[in-house]
Amino acid sequence: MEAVNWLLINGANAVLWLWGLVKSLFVTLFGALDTVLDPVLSPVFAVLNPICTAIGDAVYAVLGPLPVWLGLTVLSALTGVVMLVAFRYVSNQTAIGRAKDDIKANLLALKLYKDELRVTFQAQGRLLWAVLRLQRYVLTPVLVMLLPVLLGLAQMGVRHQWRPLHPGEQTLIRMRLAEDAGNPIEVQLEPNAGVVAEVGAVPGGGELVWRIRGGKPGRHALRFNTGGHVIEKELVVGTDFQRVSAARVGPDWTGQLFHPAERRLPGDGPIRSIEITYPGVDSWIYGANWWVLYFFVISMAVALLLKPLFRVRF
Amino acid sequence: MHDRRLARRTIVLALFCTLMWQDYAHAYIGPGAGFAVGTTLFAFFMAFFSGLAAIFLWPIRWFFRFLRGRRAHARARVKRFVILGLDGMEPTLAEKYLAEGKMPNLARLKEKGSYLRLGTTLPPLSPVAWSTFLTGCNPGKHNIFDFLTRSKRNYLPALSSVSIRGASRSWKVGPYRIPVGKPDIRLLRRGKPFWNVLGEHGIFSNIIRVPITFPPERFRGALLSAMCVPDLRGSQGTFSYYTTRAEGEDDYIGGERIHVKCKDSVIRSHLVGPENDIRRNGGPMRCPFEIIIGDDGEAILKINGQTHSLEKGRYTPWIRVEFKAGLGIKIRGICEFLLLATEPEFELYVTPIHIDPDKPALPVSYPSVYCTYLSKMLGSYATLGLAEDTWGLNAGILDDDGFLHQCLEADTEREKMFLDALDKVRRGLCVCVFDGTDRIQHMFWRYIDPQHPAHDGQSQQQHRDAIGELYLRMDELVGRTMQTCDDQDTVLMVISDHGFNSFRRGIDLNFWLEQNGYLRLKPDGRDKKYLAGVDWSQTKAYCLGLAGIWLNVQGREAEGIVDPKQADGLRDELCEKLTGLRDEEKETQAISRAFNAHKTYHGPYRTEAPDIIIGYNTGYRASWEAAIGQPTGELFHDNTKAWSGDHCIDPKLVPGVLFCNRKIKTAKPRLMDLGPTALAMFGVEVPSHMDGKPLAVADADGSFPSTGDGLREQTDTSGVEKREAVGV
Repeated sequence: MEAVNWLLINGANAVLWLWGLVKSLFVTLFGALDTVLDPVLSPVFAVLNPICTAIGDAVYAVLGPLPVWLGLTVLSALTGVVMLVAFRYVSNQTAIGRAKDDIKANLLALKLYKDELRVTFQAQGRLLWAVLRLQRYVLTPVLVMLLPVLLGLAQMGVRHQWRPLHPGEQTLIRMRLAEDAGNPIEVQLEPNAGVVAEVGAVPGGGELVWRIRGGKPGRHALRFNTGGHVIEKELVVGTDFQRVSAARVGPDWTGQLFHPAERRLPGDGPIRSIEITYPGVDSWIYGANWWVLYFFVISMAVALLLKPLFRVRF
Repeated sequence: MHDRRLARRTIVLALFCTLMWQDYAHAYIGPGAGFAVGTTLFAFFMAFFSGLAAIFLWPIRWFFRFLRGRRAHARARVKRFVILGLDGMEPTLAEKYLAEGKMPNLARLKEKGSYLRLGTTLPPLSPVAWSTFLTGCNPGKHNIFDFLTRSKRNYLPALSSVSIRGASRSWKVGPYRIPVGKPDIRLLRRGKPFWNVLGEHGIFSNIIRVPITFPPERFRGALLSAMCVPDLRGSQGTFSYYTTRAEGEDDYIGGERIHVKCKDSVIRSHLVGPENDIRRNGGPMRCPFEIIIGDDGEAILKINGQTHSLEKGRYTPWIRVEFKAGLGIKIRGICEFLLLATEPEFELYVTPIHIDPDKPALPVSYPSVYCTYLSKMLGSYATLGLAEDTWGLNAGILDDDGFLHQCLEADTEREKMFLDALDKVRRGLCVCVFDGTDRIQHMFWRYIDPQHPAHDGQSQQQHRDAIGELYLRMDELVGRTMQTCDDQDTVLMVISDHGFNSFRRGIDLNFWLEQNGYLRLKPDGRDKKYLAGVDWSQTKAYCLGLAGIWLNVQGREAEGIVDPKQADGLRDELCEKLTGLRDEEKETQAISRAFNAHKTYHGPYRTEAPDIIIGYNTGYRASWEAAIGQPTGELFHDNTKAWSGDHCIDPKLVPGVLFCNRKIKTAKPRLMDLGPTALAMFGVEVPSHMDGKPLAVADADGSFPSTGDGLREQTDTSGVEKREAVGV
């Protein structure tokens, strides 16, 4: 019994150690990737983001008269159709069809010849191979769609993830500083009609924090003065549905991707990012985090329904 | 170049990593890709868990079978029994090619094991013969005596093996009639196939395209139906011929002509589908198509939103077509297009529309997913019972090439299925029947028979040796089969259900009956099809179908006049008069023997048989007109059609073949013995109702098992001599 316990405990430890190793490998790999990709992709997003934001504003202006949930539904459905058509033309439909046929054939072989263990194993092997082939054929459309989908999702994110600060509502502004920014650093939040600064700036942990309260409704540009050098950050106060930029980030391509509504911060300055902790949109359909799921379900359902019409196999 | 590839790979890897990493992206990569990833993962997990379940359940299954006393294979003398059916392989031709050394594989099989002529059935027709094969019974017990039978109510011909009717109840919603329940499809063949008996003892069978297995019956195994599976229109195969030509016939046997108009090099027409049962008075469903004729004799076909190129003289692959019934209901079929000509007249041939095996409109397999499995595994394939369009060639729409293509394609599809079954089934029964041998001999016999009326002037034709090439191809198929059956535990039999002979002259038995006072026509009744011209009030006997003659019996037929007490005497009288009937013009005997069915068959269904079964002599058969109940004014008709070979003659003239990789001691094996033989080889007791007896087949070491277990040996004729000639 003791031997079994020993085996179980040490086995579990070994698995955990292995998992930790894999995780750290991934972190290292992605960290290294960022170092390589930031200089390449950051200028790209600097160009793309204003264009996408303009398109996003136009689309949401068209959807504006509709209730938010309906607008999201229409947008999700349209995205489903566009993605479906794109998938059809970008993917190798013949090869996908063949791989899918192989998958189904081998699944049926498992059912038909269930008493033949040899056939069961053979079918499983072939099934695995067909699955891998299908993944390989799906990779091309995935890669082609990846960028437009991410840009689109980012545009939706800045509208559905957070809501504007209500007048009088409290929140925090966090300014992350560069490691070589020098210590202490003086930053002044200039007075603005949209905000009442209650506390701050409070330094700590490589960042400065302000506690603020929402002021006059509207779209305001907060100005942060660092020794004569002024950095702006947009603040939205109001009660209606509108675009909200939760952060203005530096030349970090992933940050730029998901916070596309404002220009990137200069890379050589002392400030890495300025974040406003907006409250999440409160809705089970189009609210924070739920909108992704809703979008996912609607676009999937539309794609599935229209698949025969567009003669797409996936 | 290398740098670009490296850069591309790096970007791909980077994007892929991004996909795996980022906040939103990890959840969503577009509907198509998302589904693809989702379904493949689902498939993978399904496979994993079903595999796991199979491993864990296998001992449990084995245990339960053991408890029920059906421990499969425990008493078996073989692990696997394989029967390769070559429909209609003629022994004289096979022996000729063997002697010439042209069939090395069959020669090897004969040398290693055995070769014997195989007794067929009366009549030697495929539906009868294969029914006898699979039930081990004479036709009196399985109820199949011909392709056709007649309705006792109205004398109209009907399929003998299956009855198909729509669902009996329906809901009426506006213009729609929604059927409640499934169509009523009944197998009219009686008796239990021997693979069902094997299944009851836990032995798995894989049965491919054995005739008269539609609709498929439930059993332990997988089965794909064959002969009598209808096309999508419910017929036994209706081809379509589209032409701009104004003159010519509108109707052909087994096909129809559709006149089309060409405007600005574009032809618009439609495929004709099944009747629309969903809409009231809906008529046949249609699938529109458009053909754009190019300058170089090629054309573009647009159908169902797909575009296909047509090339003169070349078949398209199987094309999926959909017929919309309404309410979102679609019926799916498959067909092939063959562009015959674009100028001076447009001509297009379309095969009968087969049931799509991927999504079958009617059950063509057991379990129902087996046909889908084959479709997914091998691609689309012919499902129609008589897949090769003999009528198209007979009508002169198809040429020899066009017809041969269909035969070769069907055989290729079949071989893939068969080899797949052989690969999958290592313990149990595998049966597969190839029809190409039958169809090609039917249509090309004129080339090897100089006396045939259709032979003249055709000796230079490209396909004059089509039959010889066919036998060689079949030998190669046997070779490939032998490669998969070369273990000690597999018994391989290569069989044919009957042989073949020439069909030079047709006999109109209705004319003979009229001449001899047994049949009376209405004043304008001559040449009317389906017995419409017969005066039933003065008719004692009539001919319909290929097998024989029916009496018009009181209380049985709707307008019967023959007293049932006198019927047997009339049968004997007709048999006596017809036996030895001569063709004076050719100075030869036309009918070898006529059989009183009620005395020849035994079993509960013998009364359903034609009363007289005709055993025609070599070169003769029921005329085309007699087969469809169309009385003419002549007894003998030269057969000038491409359908020039036949086997519906005296069974002693057309035995089948039996090759086996083991020695067989039985001198005169019959087709009906093969099912019982398979049962005996698997150690399963042969049911008492079966008429066949197990053949004495040697074990792998060449020794024969002890007698006393019902095996038929050389000396044991047990009444067979008396009956062997008629296969009953």
